[in-house]
Amino acid sequence: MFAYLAIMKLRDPIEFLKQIREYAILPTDPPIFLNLTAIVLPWLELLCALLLLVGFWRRGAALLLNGMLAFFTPMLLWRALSIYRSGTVEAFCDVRFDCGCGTGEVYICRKLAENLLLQIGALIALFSMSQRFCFGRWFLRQRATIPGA
Amino acid sequence: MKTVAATIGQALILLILAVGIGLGANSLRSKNQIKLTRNYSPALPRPANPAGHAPFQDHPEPYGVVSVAEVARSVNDPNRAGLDVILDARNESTFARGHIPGAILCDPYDLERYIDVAAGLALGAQRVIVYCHGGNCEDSYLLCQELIAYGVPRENLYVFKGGWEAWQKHAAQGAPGEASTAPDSAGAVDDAIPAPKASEAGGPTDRHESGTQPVFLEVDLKQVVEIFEHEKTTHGAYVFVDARADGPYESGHIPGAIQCDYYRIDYYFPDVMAKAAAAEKIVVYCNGGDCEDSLYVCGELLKADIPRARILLFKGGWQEWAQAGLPVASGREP
Repeated sequence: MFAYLAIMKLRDPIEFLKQIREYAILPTDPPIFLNLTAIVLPWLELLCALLLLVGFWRRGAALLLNGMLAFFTPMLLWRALSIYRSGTVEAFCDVRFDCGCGTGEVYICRKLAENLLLQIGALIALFSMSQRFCFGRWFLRQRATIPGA
Repeated sequence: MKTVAATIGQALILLILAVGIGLGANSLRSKNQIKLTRNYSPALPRPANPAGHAPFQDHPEPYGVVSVAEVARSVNDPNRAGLDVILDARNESTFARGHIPGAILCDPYDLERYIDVAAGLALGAQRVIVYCHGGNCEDSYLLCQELIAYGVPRENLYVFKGGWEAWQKHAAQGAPGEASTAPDSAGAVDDAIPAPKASEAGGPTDRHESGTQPVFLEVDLKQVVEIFEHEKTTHGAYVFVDARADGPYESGHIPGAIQCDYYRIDYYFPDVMAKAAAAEKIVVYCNGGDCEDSLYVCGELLKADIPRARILLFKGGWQEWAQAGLPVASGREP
């Protein structure tokens, strides 16, 4: 999921830049902070996702993903609340906007639920001792069965 | 403890790797490259110190002074259209009862309502003539002070000290350029373009926290349609510029509009300038609503020495055009 979202952001980094600007977290002057974030964040997400898949440096990758989720999920909520308070929608769950997540416009409740699941998954990856779902483990097992490997 | 340190170490190394990969990949891009030092949301001119300027009494005659004859020459000379801007520093009701032809209302006591259009025009003018009632009225000086805070050069500001009183006497003597009692407050630079309405265009609009304010002439849908249907649009004298990205532009745009995606401006701007440089009027739009990309493109046109008076901002944008059921073109071609 992280890999997919990262690839979607990498397809149009300028669109991603526009979206993170909407959150007004980073200063636009000097622009280097915002621009650097737009350049680096999708690659960070992709790198962490791939490392989680292969099981290499799993905890470091999970720590970063947890950090990103823990930071951006409240931002999503805050932005949704701003839209809701503007009175343009009747119910909070009707709030819909492009969160810059790579999937275009999303309904906020669904997005929050999604992020919560991703956060749980990332926490499990951070604290779990198991490597059951890591492709790297499968690869190592294959190598172990090859005589002399 | 060892695990925690190792985890943090891994995270730091991953961060550094991501920065390196991100910057490297970004440098390899052409059209979608993000330039690190480019401000993609520039702040447009704002008052440097709107509340803290020195009282005008410190400068007895800080601005140029013009006579009624000079004002009449400015009003009557078509060559001065767009070069001279006349601002009326009185209130709305007195303005509505009568004002110098072509004058723009800018009440310094209700500045937020008018300053956007007034400052926008003043910044593009060679000479800004400011008047109020005349006699002991000092509001023209107050307005000049505010205009300076918005970046209008002091040397371009002229006070018509005789004011409305002097103009009325001049008109009563049958001199050319009679007092106008027209209700609209904006003087049209070009008869073919309906004058933008100051009361609708003035005042701060919804902005994100960069705090930009519009300083371009704004046109509404009706005015845009009139421009679109004018023969000069066919001949390229009136140009439409679409400030949206590829996808939205290709899905639908105003027929004849050339694309100028602000975030990829290096790629599009040469083609835009090829048409805009010779155009009499350039209508810039983006999606509408709170989209500011059209405003940024207007800023780029201004930086490219396109006179401000030629740049028109269509804030309703594509949304308003499409919702009105007006003609639509799609694909890459204008």
